[in-house]
Amino acid sequence: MSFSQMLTISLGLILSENIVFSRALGLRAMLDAEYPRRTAWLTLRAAVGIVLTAMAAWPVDRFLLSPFGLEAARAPVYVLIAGILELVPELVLKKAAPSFGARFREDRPFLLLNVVVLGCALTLSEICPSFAELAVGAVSAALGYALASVILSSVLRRTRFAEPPACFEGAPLALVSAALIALAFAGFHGLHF
Amino acid sequence: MADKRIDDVPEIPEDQPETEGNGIDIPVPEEAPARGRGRRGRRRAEPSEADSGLLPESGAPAGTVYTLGPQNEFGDVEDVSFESSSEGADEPSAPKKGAALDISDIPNAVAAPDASKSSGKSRKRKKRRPAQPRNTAAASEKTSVPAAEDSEQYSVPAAQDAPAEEPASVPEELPADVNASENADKAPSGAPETSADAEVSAEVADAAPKAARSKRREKRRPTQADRPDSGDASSEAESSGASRDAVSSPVEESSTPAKKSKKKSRRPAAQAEDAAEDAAETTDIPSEASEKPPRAPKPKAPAASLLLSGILTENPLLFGLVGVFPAVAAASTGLTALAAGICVLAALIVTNLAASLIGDRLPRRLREALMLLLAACVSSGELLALEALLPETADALGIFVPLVAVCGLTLSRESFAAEHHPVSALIDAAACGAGFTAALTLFGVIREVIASRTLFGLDISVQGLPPVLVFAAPAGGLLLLGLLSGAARYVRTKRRASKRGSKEAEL
Repeated sequence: MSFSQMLTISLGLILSENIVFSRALGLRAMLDAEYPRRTAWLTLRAAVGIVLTAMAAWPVDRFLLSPFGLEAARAPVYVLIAGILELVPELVLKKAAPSFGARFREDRPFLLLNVVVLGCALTLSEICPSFAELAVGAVSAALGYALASVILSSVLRRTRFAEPPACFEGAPLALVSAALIALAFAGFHGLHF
Repeated sequence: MADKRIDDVPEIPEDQPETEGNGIDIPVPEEAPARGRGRRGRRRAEPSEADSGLLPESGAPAGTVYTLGPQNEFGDVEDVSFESSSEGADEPSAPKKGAALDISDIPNAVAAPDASKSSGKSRKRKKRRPAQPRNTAAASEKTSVPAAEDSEQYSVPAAQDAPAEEPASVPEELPADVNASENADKAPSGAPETSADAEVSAEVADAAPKAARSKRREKRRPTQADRPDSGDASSEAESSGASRDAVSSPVEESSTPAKKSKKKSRRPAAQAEDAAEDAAETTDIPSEASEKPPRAPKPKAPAASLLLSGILTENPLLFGLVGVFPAVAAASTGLTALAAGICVLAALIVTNLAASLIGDRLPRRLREALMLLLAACVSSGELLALEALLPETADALGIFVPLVAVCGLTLSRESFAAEHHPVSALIDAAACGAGFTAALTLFGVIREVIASRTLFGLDISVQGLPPVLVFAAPAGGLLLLGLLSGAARYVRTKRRASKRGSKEAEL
C-alpha cells in the first residue's frame, strides 16, 4: 500500500467521509454530551473499540464468512465479536481490579455493541481488501470519530447559553447544530488525491 | 438446627435429601384414598399414631386451628396456621383454645390435626394447576398460588419422613397471636401461604403480590370455614409448623434438591412428634426458598397508554431521538424509510418478547448483549428478505439494514420489556415500532419530496421549484430531523397546554 493510498483512506475517513457526519454513526451519543471528561472518556473507549473490533472482525469476515457467501450473517457475527471484546475485558477487570473495573459499569450503554463500532466494522470490511488498509482505515475512522466528538461537544456546550424557542431546546437544537457541522464537513467532499 | 434434629432421629440419615425422605416407605392405609381422594390424600395417610388415636379421623370434631398472625416482625411468616386436635390426649401440651402464645417460645414445628378435608382438596386442586408455570408467573394472583404450592410441597416430605418424636414439644410451638377459636376456620386457607410468604417477603419486598395474596386469602377463607374436618388441614398444619420452624431456625442445609417439591405426600393427621421431625427435616425450607425465590409477577402496563405513548406522545424518533442513524443515513426516500422502519419493528418485537421472557434470569448486561445479538440475527433475515423482495431498496439501504436493527431503539425498550409482562412488552414493541416506522416514513417522504420531487417514486415535480439536493445528504437529514422534532415538541406542548387550559376552565 502506497503512501498516497494511505493518505486517501485516512483523510477520506477523517474528513470527507467522516463516519459521524456522513453516515450519522454514533451521533446519538454525542447529542447529549454534557460533561467533557466523560465525553472524552467515552470517545476514547469508542475509538479504541472501533479499531479493535474492525481488526478482529476482518479476518473472520475474510476467512469464514466471505468464502462461503455468508455476508448476510456479518451482523450477528460482528455483534458477537464486539460483545466478546467488550464483556470479557470487563469481567476480567472486575475480577482483577475491582476498583478500576467498577468504572466500566458506569457506562450503561454498550460502547462496543454500538452502531458506531459495528457500522465501522461493517463498512471497513466492505471497502478494505487488505488488512493493512483496514488497519489504516480503522485508525482513521476512530480519529474521525474523536474529531467529530470534540467539535460537536464544544459546539453543543455553547448552545447551552443560547436561548432558542422552548420546543427547540435540547435535542432539536443539537440536531440542527450537528446538521450545520455536517454541512461544513460536506465541503471536504471535493477533496481528492 | 437441622443437624441437631437429625441427630435426634437416628433412623434418618443426615443430609438425606427430601426425596429419600419421601421415599421412606409410607404404608398407605385403606382409608387414605377415601379421605384424601387422590394423590395427596393417599400420601397423607400415615400408619402411625396419627391414624390410630392421636389425631381425629375424618369425622372427628373439628381440630382447633391456630393461626400465626399475618406477619411477624421478620417478615418471614405471614400467616401460619395450624390445628391441633382438641382431644389430643397424646399431645400433652396441646394448645388450648384461645390461647395466645409467644412465638419466641416456639422452638420447633407444630403438629396439628386436620380440618376441612374435602374443601381443602378442592382448593388444592385449584392450586396444583398453576404449580407448573411457577417461574413464569404472569399476574400477581397467579404467582401467589404457586408460592402456596411451594410451601405445601416443602413441608410435606418432611412431615412424612418424621417418625414420631418429641411429642411434648407441641405447646411451646404455638405461634404468636394464636387465637384458636377465632381462626379455626381460617387456618387451612392461610396456612399454605406461610412459607410462600416467607419466601416472598424475604426475597421480594413487593407490595403488589402481597396485596394479591391477602386478597386471595380472604377469598378462600369463607370457603374453608364451613368444613372443619380432618383432611388437608393436617398437611397445612405441617407446613405451618415447618415454616414456623423455619422462622426459628433460619438456614440449615442449604443444598436441598429441587426434587423435593415434586413430592407431595399428605398424612391424615400430623402429630406433634411428626411436627417436630418436620421441623428438623424442613429447616432447609427457607434456604431453598432463598435459592429459588418465586419470581415477582411482571406487571402489565395498560395497552392504551402504551400505544398512545409509543406512537404519539413519546414517539421514539421525534421525542426520544432514538434511531437518528436510520433516519439520517437510511431513510432518504419514503420507500427506504418504510423498509427501515419495518426492519426496526420486526427486530424490536422479537427482542422485546425475548427480553420479557428472559426477564431477570440473566444479568442485565448479558441480557442486553443477547438481545443485540438476537436483533442482529433478525436483521440478517431481514437483509435476505429485502434482497429477495425489494432488491433496489436493499441496495439503497446497503449495510444499514443490520445496523438499523441494532440501533438504539432495540436497547431502549429492552429494559422496559424485561420488567413487564410479555403481552405488555409486545404491545410496547408494536407501538414503539409502529410509531417509529410512521415517523420515519413521514420523515422519508418529506425528505424525498424536498430532495427529489418524487413521492414513493412518483414524479410530483412542480415548475419553478427545483429539488433541494442537500436534503438527500446526511446534513439535510439532520436538519430536517431537528426541525421535525422541534415541530413535534411544539405540537405536544401546545396540546398539553390546551388540555390543561380546558381542565382549568372546567374547574
